Amino acid sequence: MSAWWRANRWYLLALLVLLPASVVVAMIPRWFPYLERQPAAESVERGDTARYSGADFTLTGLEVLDGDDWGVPEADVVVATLVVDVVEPVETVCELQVVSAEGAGFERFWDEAPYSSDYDVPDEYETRCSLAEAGSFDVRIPFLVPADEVTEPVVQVTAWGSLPRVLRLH
Amino acid sequence: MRARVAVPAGVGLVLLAFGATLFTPTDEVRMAPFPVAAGIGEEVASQHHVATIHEVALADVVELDGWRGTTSGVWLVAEATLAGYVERTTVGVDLFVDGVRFESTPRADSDTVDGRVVDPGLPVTGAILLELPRDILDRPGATSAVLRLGAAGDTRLDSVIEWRIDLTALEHHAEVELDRVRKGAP
Repeated sequence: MSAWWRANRWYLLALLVLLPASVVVAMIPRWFPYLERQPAAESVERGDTARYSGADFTLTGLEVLDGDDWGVPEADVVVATLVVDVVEPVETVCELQVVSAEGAGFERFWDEAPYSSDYDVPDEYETRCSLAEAGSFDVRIPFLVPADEVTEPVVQVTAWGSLPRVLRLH
Repeated sequence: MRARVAVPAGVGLVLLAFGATLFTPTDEVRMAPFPVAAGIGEEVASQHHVATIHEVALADVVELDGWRGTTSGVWLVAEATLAGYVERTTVGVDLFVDGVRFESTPRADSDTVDGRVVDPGLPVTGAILLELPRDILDRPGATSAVLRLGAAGDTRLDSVIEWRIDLTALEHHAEVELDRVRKGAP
């Protein structure tokens, strides 16, 4: 048997290399498209403006309010205010989320919660981020996050047509 | 030497082909969700939810915020605390008994925790309610039913939480009054 191993050693060695290599090669056509689909976050500091999905976004306010004052003692209310200037209209809306890794040790996302607390958005603000018509508007969105866990929230802006690129407004 | 090896090798390869055909996973197996096993009273997390089921029982009639739920079958009633894990997530609950799927009832509207959305770190507590046939306890799988919690809709290849429940060992009440969904854990 040892003679057989000796006679075929180079084929066996080639097999050891070629088998893992074939697995890697088979994965390449799926791996790179997967990477390309992952969200690519572009950071924007408060007050700075970034063009995204045909509109200029500027974060003008980001507050964390004590939920006790707004009828939600188990939560804090994060209020984000943005100026959105639609330059090249597209038939879509932008989705806003609050992102934070505080409290859990990994990034968590909270969607808007307009009716979940006593906080009412003043009438002069839009509560929907439509990118369908040219023009500038102020949008204010409240979010609920767990009480005392999120002190430095980040606002993420997503528009379907512009994915995987997303904006992270600090 | 070669002839002696060739016949068994040929038979072996044919058997191998049969075995490969026999053990090739079905679509149902290949697309099955990834379950996290949980016990009653234990807090567990999937990729979507953090969940605790506090208790499970059977009932003939349920009352929930003025709604009186009667049935020709039997209600499976569970009290659960749920939150999202990473982001806002829908809640879907099914019970599997011997391969048959029973969905949570839509009859109680949104007064139960299933059918709602939950956010990370903001738990809600309330009832899970499933309407089951009267003969459910006589079915072969009744002693090892699986209660599955996942995102509502399609759970194929998705992360879910599963509780294995012996339906025949549950308390059976004539009537149960359920609390509405409330914020926080009990």
